[in-house]
This record gives sequence, structure tokens and C-alpha cells, in this order.
Amino acid sequence: MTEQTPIEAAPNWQRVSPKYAMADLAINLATSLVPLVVLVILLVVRSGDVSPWLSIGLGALVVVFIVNSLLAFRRVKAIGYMLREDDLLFRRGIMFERIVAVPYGRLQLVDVNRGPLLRALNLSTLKFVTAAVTTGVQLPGLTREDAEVLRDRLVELAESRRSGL
Amino acid sequence: MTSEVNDAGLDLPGTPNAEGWRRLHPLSPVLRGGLFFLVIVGVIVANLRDVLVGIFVAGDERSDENGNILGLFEYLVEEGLVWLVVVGVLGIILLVVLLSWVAWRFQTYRVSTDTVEARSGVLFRQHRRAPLDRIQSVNLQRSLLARIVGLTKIEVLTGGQGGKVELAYLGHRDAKSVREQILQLAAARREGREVVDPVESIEGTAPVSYDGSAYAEPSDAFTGRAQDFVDFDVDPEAAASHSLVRVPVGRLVGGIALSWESVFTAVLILAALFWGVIGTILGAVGVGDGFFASGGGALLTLIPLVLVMIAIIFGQFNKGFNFTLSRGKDAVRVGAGLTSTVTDSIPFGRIHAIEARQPLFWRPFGWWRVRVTVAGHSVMQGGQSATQNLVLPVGPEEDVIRVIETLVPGTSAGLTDGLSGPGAGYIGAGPRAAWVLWFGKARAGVRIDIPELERANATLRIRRGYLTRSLSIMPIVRAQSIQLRRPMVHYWLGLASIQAHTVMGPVNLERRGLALADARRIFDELERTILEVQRNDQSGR
Repeated sequence: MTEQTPIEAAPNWQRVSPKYAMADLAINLATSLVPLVVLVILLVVRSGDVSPWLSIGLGALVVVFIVNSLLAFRRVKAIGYMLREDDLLFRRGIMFERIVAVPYGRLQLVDVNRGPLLRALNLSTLKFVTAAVTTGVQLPGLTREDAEVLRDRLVELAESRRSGL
Repeated sequence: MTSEVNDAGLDLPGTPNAEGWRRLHPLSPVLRGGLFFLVIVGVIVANLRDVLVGIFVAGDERSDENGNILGLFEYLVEEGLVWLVVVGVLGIILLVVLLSWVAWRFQTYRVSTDTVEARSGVLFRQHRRAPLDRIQSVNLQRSLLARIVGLTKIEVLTGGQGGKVELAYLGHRDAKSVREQILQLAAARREGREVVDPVESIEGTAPVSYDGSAYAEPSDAFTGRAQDFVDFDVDPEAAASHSLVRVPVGRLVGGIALSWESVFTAVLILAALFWGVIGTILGAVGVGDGFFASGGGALLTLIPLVLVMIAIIFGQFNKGFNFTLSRGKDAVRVGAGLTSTVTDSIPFGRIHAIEARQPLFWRPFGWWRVRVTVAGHSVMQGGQSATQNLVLPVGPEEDVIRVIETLVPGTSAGLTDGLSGPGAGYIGAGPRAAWVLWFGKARAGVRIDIPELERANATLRIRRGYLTRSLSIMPIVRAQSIQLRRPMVHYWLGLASIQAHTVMGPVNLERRGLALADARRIFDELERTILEVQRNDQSGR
């Protein structure tokens, strides 16, 4: 049997491009603008006559969102993947940490997605599909070349270890 | 593909055309459109109700609209146009029959040595194929109407999204024979046998009575139809060897009566009655009018809820009635139903996960309910999946063990302990897990069970529950991926949760509240076992 590296001792998590933090930051900052805009519109329309609780609530929401946005760098650093001999290991999240192991034989599809924001940064998202919907592994923030190389490699690995459902 | 290949050894009803396509039963379009016809009849009856009432109860007070329609009749009669109306109605009937006939002509199916295919549609052609090596289960479905007419629908489920091939409808015995052949071909395919010899003689197409013995050849058509109607559709061989699992009506009723749904309904009704009675008494005494009103109101608002609950409870009874599980040559067969019946045939090794569950009030009787995750079922049928995936509505522990052993062979060791014992060998929850698991901490446990002799039969077992106890089992060979998760509270408490991912289904394979070190160890061991078992697995395809 092949010896597997224990997760905690694994030294070589592959990281995704730090540029992805910019995309993450941009999206999260844009979201935190929403309650701010709502608050401003309310203040203007009602000419300052807004319940203090509502303003405090919306203000708190804005602060939470902004703090969340600033965690982007930390968050992107937490995303990692590792190609082991027989399976793909994937990790993400700081407060909601998640580690997923997918045997290569179970990979059914590997998608490369590129949204407009990621395209501007020359990044791609890899999405792995197995027969289980719950697997839900998405690897964002790979450079375009890396994503394509990784996809081809994974498809090849999946082919060579293909098993039924 | 040539017709010779298609017909190799198969004995299907009907005559194939040059490409091997066969037609379904001529009455199929009528049944498929059954609902449509009922709606039409309903609309006609609803519209003519007043007229009919007017004719039978020749009252004086005819409203204007009645007068109009009756006036129309009189007008038609006077003008001698009745024949026109009759011809019109006949024309419509003829048109419907013609369209049904055309639809039937275009509805064909084909079974070859590697696929089952169905084509339908005149303008929008639909062509579905199910590769035999991907078949997850084959169902026979019979609605009450179909049973009366003696027809049966075959549903072939494959793993993929929308991968369902329907052959609706075939004569009942034909359907049984076609199903057996599909299963035999699929089994041959799975085991890598070449299907060169003719398929072995098809047995078990004769209707089967409650005790599992086949009925004698019917003496006349009516008897034959009656036999088809009550057909239990169990494997006669399995019946002969007493390897059936049944649910007697008494136990089914008891199980339903003690289920959470029923207890909840009963408590609600009692509470409302109590409230209503108190309110009425107080009202009669003259204390508190408002209280009386609210008491009555409580009773009234509960009526729809109670009706829904009764519908659910009756649905459980209807679907669980006459439940029988039998082990055939190529598949496990599960059948049940009072008005409409469904018989699932699940080829061996298609169970992705299985779960036994025991609601609180079943505990004194030692009853359990068993459900399975099978690829294909739940993806398609959403809401129905709760009953579709039932492989034992209510049964004692020894039945549960037989069912699990039948569906997932080689797992019976340690089942009793896992179900109702102390759970030896299970890794329990972490030290501070009560914060996330509450009372469930006591039973929480996870275990990777690897039989010494047959490592391929390894399973992941998860115990959970406090009021409703459960044991979930996943054959390692079916795992799609595994996950270790530390949501915020778990993170703070030094805990982690382990989850195995399978195809979509009712069985949840997550064990929360494990100590982090335990979870990591389980994660690694589980992944190692998965890779080992799946590498050596040849049966998957």
C-alpha cells in the first residue's frame, strides 16, 4: 500500500495565485457597499429621520463586511491543493476550514471557468465534478496556463484510474 | 446495429422492425393521457352539471344560463341539427383515437446486448438510451388504473442526470419478462460475460400470490386479469427458499401510529380539543368570551393541518402496504403498494449508502426503518424519494440485519452492536462535543469496518441520534470523496466533522463533533481504505 502523507505534516500545499486576493477583495468590498448605499439613500430620502437602531444595524453590517473583505489575503492564502499519488487534496477556509480528498478515479469532469473579473486578472477557476453533488470542490485563482495544465493532468489521471460509480 | 445482434437470445414481446424497434402496448397512449382524459371528462361534467340537474330535477326555477343551454338543445332539435352535433362529437373521438394511434406508432423501444432505448414523440422526437452497465435499478410501476387494465410501466434508471428510460406501458407479464431480461443482460455485462448464448429461460413471469407461489395458468382471460391485478411480483425462487422480508399489516399500522408524524398530530388534536373544551366550559359559565372564541378558532385552524397529516399518514400506509423484499438471481427486489404498486429491482452492488432509523416510540418494540441511497432515484424524483428509497418501512432488528446483509453483502458483523448495542470499536465524540451535539453526544460514533477476510467489503459506519437513533453505513467502494470540516464553533472547541460524499440520496454520512486528532486520523485512514478498495474494485463498471 502507498504511504500517504498525513494532512497536518504535509509540507507542500500548492497555493493559488496571490492575485486572486485582489478579485476576492474587490467583490467583498463591492458587497459591503450595498448596506452603506442603502443607509445613505435612507438618510437622504428621510432627510436624517432614520431610526437610530436601523442606522446602527446597517453601520455594523458595513463594518463586518469590510473586515471580512480585509481577510481576503488571509483567505486566499488558506486555499491550497495537493496532487498526491492517487487522490487530489483540497483545502480552503480559515473560520470554516474544509479539507476534501477526491480519489482521481472519481473525477468525472474538470471544468475551467473564467468570469469577467478573473479574466481581467488572467485567472481561472477549476471546478471538479464527481457523482456526488456535495463534493463541491472549486479551485479559484489559478493562472490561466496553470489551470489548463492542471486540468489536462487531472483528466489524464482520472482516465488512468477510472472506476464506476 | 443490426437486428440479429439486437435479438440475440432475447425473447421480447411484439415483432421488431428491421432495426429492432418494438412497439409498446396499444392502450399505452390512453393510459399515458389518462389524466388528460379525466380532466376533459371533468370539464364536461362540470359544465353540463346544471343541464343534467335540470333534466333530472325538472324544477321551476331555471336560471338564465340553464335556459340558454336547454334552449340550444331545443333549437337544435327543431332545426334537425342533432345529427351534426353527434357527428361532431364522433369526429372529436375519432381524432383523439387517431392521434393516440399515431403517438403509439411513434413510441418504440429496443433492448440490445448493451443498451435499453426508448423513442417517442411525433413532432418533438425523443430518444433515450440507458447503457446496460450503468443501470442502477429497474422498476415496475402500476397505477391503480394501469392495474385494472393489466398494464405495467418499466422504468430503467441510470446514474446520470435525467438518465431514466421509461417503457410505458407493456402488458403485465410482458413487462416482467422484459425486466428479467434487462437485469440478466446487465448482470452478464457487469460480470464481463459475453452474451452469446440465448438468455436463460425467463422464470417468474407468472403472477405470484401472497405466499409466494405462482398461480396456475389462468383458465380464462378474466381470471388472468385478476391474477395480474393481485400479483405480488416476488421472485418465486426466493419465496420458495423463505428468504423474503415482509411487513405484516399490523406492524405497519403500529409503526405508522407510533411515528413522529402521528404522535405530533395526536398531540395537536388533543391540545386543540382540550383548549376548545375548556374555552366552551368557561364560555358557558360566562367567564371570558374571548377565551371561548379563541378555543373554537384553534380547532378550526387545525383542520387543514390535520387533513395534511392524515394524507401523509395514509400515504405511508398506501406505499408500505404488502411490503416485500426478496433476493433474486441478479437483483434485490423491493415491492409494495395498496392502490398503485411499485417494484424496484436493484442489481447487486448498487447501494451507495444505507441507513436504519428508529424513532423514539419504536424503541420499546425494537423496530427500525431502513432507507438507501441509490444513484438515479433521488436526483429525479425529489419529493417522492422519501418513499422511493425505503427498503424496510418498519421491521425488527433481525429483519434490518437481513435487509442490510442482502443489500450490502458482507457487512452483518457487528450490526446488532452498532444498531442498539454500546457501539464497540466506534470512535466517539470529542471531550467538549456536548456543545454542538447536545444529548446526541452519547451515541455519536464513527467506525471504519474492514473485514479481515474480504477487505473489499469495508464500510464506513456512523451512529447518531438521541430521540431518533440511527446507524448509517456506506460501502467504502462507493465513496466519491471525503471531507474534514471545522466550522467556527467546532474550531473553537477543538473539534472537527468528518463527512463522506456519495451520490445524492436520503442517507447523510456526516459525523460532527469528533476530537480534531481523531478526525484527522479517521480522515487519513478512510482515504487510505478508499484508495485501496477502489483500486482493487473491478465491479464498478
